[in-house]
Amino acid sequence: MISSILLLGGIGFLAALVLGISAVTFAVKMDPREQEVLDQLPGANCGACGYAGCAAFAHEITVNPEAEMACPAVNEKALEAISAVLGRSLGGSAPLIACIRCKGAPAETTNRYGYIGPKDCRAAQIVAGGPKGCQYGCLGLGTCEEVCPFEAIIMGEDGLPRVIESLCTGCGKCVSACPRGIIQLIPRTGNYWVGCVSKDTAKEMKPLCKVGCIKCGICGDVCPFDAITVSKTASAEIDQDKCQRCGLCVSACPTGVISALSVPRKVHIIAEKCKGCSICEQVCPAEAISGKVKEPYLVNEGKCIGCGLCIEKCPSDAIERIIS
Amino acid sequence: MYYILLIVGAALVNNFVLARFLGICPFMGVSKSIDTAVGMSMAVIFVMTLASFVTWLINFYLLVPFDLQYLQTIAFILVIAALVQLVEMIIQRVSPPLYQALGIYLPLITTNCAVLGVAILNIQLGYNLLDACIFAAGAALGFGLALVIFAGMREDFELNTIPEAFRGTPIALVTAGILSLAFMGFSGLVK
Amino acid sequence: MKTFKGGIHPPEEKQLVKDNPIVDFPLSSRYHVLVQQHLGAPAKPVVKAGDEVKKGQVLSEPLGFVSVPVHAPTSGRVREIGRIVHPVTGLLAPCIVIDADGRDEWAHGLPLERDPFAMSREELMDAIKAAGVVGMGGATFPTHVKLSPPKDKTIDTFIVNGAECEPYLSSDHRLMLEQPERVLKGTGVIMKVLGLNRATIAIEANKPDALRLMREKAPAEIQVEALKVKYPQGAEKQLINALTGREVPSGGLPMDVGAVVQNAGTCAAVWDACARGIPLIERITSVTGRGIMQPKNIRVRVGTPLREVIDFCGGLNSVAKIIFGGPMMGIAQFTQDIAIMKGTSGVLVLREEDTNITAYSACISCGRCVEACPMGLIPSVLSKLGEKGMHQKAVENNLLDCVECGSCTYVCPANRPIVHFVKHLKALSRAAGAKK
Repeated sequence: MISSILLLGGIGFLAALVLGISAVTFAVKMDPREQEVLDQLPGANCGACGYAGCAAFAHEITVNPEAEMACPAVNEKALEAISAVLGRSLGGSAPLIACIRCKGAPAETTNRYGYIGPKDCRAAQIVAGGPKGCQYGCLGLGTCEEVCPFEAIIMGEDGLPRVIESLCTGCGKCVSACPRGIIQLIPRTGNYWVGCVSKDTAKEMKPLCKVGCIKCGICGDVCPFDAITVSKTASAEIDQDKCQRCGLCVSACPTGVISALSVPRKVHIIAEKCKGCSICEQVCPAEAISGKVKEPYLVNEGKCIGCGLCIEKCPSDAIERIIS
Repeated sequence: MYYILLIVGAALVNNFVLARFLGICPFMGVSKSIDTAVGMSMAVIFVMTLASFVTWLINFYLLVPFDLQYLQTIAFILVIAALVQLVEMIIQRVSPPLYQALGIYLPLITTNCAVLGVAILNIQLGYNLLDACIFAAGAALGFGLALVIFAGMREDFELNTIPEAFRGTPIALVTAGILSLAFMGFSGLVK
Repeated sequence: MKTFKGGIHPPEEKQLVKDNPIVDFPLSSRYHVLVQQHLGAPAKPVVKAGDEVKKGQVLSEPLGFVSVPVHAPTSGRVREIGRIVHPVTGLLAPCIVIDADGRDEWAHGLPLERDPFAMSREELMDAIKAAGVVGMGGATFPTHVKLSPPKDKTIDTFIVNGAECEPYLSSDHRLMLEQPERVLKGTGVIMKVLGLNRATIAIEANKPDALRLMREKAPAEIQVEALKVKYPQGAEKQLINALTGREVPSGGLPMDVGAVVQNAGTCAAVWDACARGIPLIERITSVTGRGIMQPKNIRVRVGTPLREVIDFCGGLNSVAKIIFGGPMMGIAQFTQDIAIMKGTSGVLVLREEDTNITAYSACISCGRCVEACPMGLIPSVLSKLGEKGMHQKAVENNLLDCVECGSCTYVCPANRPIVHFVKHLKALSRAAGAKK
């Protein structure tokens, strides 16, 4: 009995001695705040900050007192927590969101040739400049969806990408991935953007796309803040700094090419129309819809992200947007 | 000659991972990239050999004389845990990226049944100190070999279009099984 | 017979045009001369709308060393500096549109009568650059640049590429059969430029008539060598390897092993440029494939509209693809509103049944591509990396050594577009490099 206690105790003591000495010899100076900062970062390693990953950025911002907050994906709460840990106030940059500046779905545009190859917009672009007739429009093969580290872009039924406004952090990965440069980051407060980047004249564009900017210039004329520039060979551009979000351009535009960020409006299932087919439950990316087959389904508004996929897919037209 | 056979036996014929099925946890967890696999193998070789040395001494000079063989498991684990802590400290100092890459699997060497297995096998097979150390070194080499081969294969087949149900661990396990079958080819090499 | 490792044996299909003598293409009424018909820096137009030009007159000046001028293919008036789809990029590119006056008059002084063997090396190089000579095998690399390797590279081997390994094409074959003197004399001029006293003309064994004739006509210092018929024997690294046994190192160029390779058509153009001061304004092109009613080998001027070429050859049969070049490395065209370029060795019109337009599936790691690759790469890995856009790993796997010959794509049982993946990865790699 005593011998067993002595033996184990002895081994333990020796081990502790050895470890104690090595702890001093092999000491590594690591700032414990670094781990706390790392815990507040999103951990997506998207690289938008310019560093090799969240760990690298956490290290930099902890050890370098001059380092600025470069992560676009931190929310208010995380920003406060990091500022508290590091003992200095860190200003976040104005939150940005990606907008897709093309409305030319396959149904509205023409193609130059049939493309057979990898389903990647960048790969398609190197084949004679892409299959789409319009050299500036969206190729619709989903590369932006692939590269988004936050799964904030989904390809819609019509072949155009959609940004899920609540998930987008403005990291910019999609901007660099798009070979046509269609995606633009605008401030989340900036509501309006022009859904076309074509440099073709209206005449050149006519056979290629039904919904592009026809460069009529009406938007530029009605804008009371001089925020819109448009010419015969450049689609309308809204200067987000000058735009006051009055919405006059949207109503004036004859083609409806100027778009607005939607207030995330949730959806609601009309019980009388719902057939209980369960399609909405299957397509919902936020798992916000549930129900029993053949009975009206229900939307959990807390989970609903307002993407609108269910509205598109519902065969009974039983879902609509609500202001909640 | 005897020692060569001992090493070949421990490393190839009765490979600890692929024939004895010990140490599967780090085998699956660390084999996603060749670099981490090599780093892990180095750590395990160090721990296994040193642990066998120390545990053999403890067994024959402390446990047996005082009739305390029933403490074998606890005492061995104690030694292994201390050694793993030591290795952790060394790696954290020498190569922080490797330390980050190994993550939780580094302290898990403590509970790696292969390390404890070697220590106990040394006693069971009645090896003397030199035999025990060489056997442990061979076992560790075999472990490292299996790990690196598997990591090389995994790096390649991660690129393949694997059916959804098999992605990740399932296909890794299937491949490990086939690799074990391949290593069965060594049986009969050493009589 | 000498050969290289790897490669494939696609059906030759040369019987459609190989016995058709070269036919002169009649003068067109309008020419679209692209300003960029070469690898390297673009050229700058030096004429404007309304200018009168003569045949052989300079239309654009080169910018920098790796650049060549383009010349008027006939006399007439510049209609405009317009834009036309470029057959290689598929994008609109600047071109000089010329309305022919029908007189086809040479620019003042041309053609000259010179003895290239009495000219100095510098004079010859100036003549070659001024004539806008580029690699006529299709790569269109400026010839004067290829013939002036840096001082530290010693050249001891000059190879004339008469292999023409692409299926369907016979333009170099007919050139050697009908105008062997131009090729041989051009070879002599290049030998002088490089300071060598021997050269080799390599011809694949499927052209016995050309082999016989060239052997007969060639002087003692030019050796004619028959090579085993295999694609891509005509790729320069494979030519060098087959003939000399030397291997161009990874990431290297032929000059790194002391060799220079030139297409047979380029040699002929060099002779014209040096002996007669004639710029590169026309070439031999094989218009072939079962999609064209009357396959022909034509001597056609640069800038000739494709529609006229097709009409001249009897019009289209049923067409699924129109390719500039050969079926392996040629570029498919989406419109007929394009023009012949300096590097257009062939216009290939294929019917649906001649092509393989199938969706691709997952790689089964069968290894056929590995056997076929003449550069010793592992195309299956490159294709998988291409699917995931992993360009850094691809560069580590020797992505940049791929010559895009298409052997791997040809043999793949899963119909994977491996060369497309390689081009995709190279584009990603370039973009990532540019970002830095």
